[in-house]
Amino acid sequence: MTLAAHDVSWSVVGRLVVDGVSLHPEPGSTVGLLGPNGSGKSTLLRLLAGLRPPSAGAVELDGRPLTSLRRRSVARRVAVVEQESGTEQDLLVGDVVALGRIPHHRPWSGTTAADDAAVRRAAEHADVADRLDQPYRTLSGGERQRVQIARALAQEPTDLLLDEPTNHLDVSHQLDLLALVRRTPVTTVVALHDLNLAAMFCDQVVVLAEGRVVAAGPPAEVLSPGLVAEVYGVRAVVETLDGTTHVRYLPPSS
Amino acid sequence: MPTAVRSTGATAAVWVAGVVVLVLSCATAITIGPSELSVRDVVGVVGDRVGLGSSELTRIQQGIVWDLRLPRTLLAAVCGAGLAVCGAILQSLLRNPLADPFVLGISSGASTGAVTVVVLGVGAGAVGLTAGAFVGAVVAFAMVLALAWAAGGTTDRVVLAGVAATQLFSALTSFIVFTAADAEQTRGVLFWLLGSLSSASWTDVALCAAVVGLGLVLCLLTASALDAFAFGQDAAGSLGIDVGVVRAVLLTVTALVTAVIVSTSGAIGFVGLVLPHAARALVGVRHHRLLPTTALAGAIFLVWVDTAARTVLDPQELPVGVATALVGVPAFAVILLRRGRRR
Repeated sequence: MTLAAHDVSWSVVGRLVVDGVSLHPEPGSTVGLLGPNGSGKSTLLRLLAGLRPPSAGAVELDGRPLTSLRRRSVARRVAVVEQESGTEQDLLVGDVVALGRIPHHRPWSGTTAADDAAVRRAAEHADVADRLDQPYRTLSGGERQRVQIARALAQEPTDLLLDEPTNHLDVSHQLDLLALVRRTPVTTVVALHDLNLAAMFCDQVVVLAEGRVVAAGPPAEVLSPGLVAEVYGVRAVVETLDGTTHVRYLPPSS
Repeated sequence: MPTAVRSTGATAAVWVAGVVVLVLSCATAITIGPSELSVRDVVGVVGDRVGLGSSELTRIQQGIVWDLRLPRTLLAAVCGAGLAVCGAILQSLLRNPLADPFVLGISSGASTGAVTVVVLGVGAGAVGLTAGAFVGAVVAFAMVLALAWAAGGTTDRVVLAGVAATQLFSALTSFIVFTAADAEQTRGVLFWLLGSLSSASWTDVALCAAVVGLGLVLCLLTASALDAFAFGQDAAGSLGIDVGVVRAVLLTVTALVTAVIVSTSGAIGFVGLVLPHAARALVGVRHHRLLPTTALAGAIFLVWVDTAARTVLDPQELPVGVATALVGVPAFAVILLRRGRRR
């Protein structure tokens, strides 16, 4: 039993952005959150992270609503990686990864050996251990995202939330990054644009449209020409090659 | 950034060096001026007053040290430290490298409060220029917060509301000065607006030291929360920071510290904008290292700039705000150029 959403909704100025969504990821699994722009993926992730209180329903961690937990307790369990993480400050990669330890100590207490060990483990897992002394701002987009994942892992979470982490990355970095996410031993919910990447790396996918869940299940069962047409308004052919589902889009029929 | 020291030991060395330089700077700065004094004389007078040893100086010379130059130098150190730390915090909190302690409209609010008392004579006698300035600063800050909150409460709204308040209160100050003040009053107000430590008293020193000290402790307690703001509010929230509370506390603390400093010594510009950047170049951006370093750098800087301001044009005195910019801009340019080359 980890992070779960029960019938959550969120509205802004009278418009329902997330409309009665439930989500129960299997512990340790990777769940892909799919849907077109504006379907509520990012907002749902914010609700799951406890960054916004749901206007109806509840997000629960081990059966307790997030709103009843202290922010720091939540941050020790749930880590977030955003689409693109920029900063004006001249942080070193090591500084960025060490941010992940903030929820683990009291203000103005020094870093402990446990902190250093967690930072090093996370950096090694994300393959950035040799970059710790480099300025974060000199890194490429793909390297920055790996550093953000290392920072998230330094939080030692049980649940990891990623909001379109592969945006702005080239193909090889997209594959590297999702392979990294995949081999990370925590429950992961990742919003994705690319249906083929979702099919390749996710155990389950949840498809959102206009804030509602329209389909959920293993990618091979969910991704169908009918669904792609209904949700994205695009004609597609869905094939299975070497056991993986592939979506091939067709040009609009004029 | 190859020049920045990042290890705890090296940072501690920077702090020890900073404290030594600060103490030496204060002692040396007191000797500089139209009366012949040595560091030994200064130490003698201080020892005499606190009951350790005695001083061989004349009463007048003792008075110069104890009643004029010592409080002035200490006030410079305290104000420099306070302004620099407030600047560092606002730059991190608002994620804006151009933020300074006056970004929230505080200096212009204070100036309006001061001219209302001095020029219009509102409440004169009961409240002095200092109290007027403080009230003006708090009113301006309250207006900024109310406006920012009503407009959605995000960081950029705070900055925009601050800009609006700064413009409004500057205009009000100019309006009052142009319509009501005589030449003498105008000159006095103008001098105060540009910042001056010349009327420093022990009461000012005690008040500022208490407020700046308390503010620094509070800010140090939020050091790791400030680190978490590096990637924005949601990132800070996901690291377990209660963004609303931290932001409200830090905005209020920096506003009150700035208001107290401005009401004792006018709007001394530039220290809060530039010294945090210099300190970052020295020890990096983690706040538990940055804030104490910034405080020391600000204190040392303002002690020397004020010494220059009161001696260079002797017997005339330059407003210290003018001197900070004259000395600070070239220093800032050097920092900018060095950073640029490393990219």
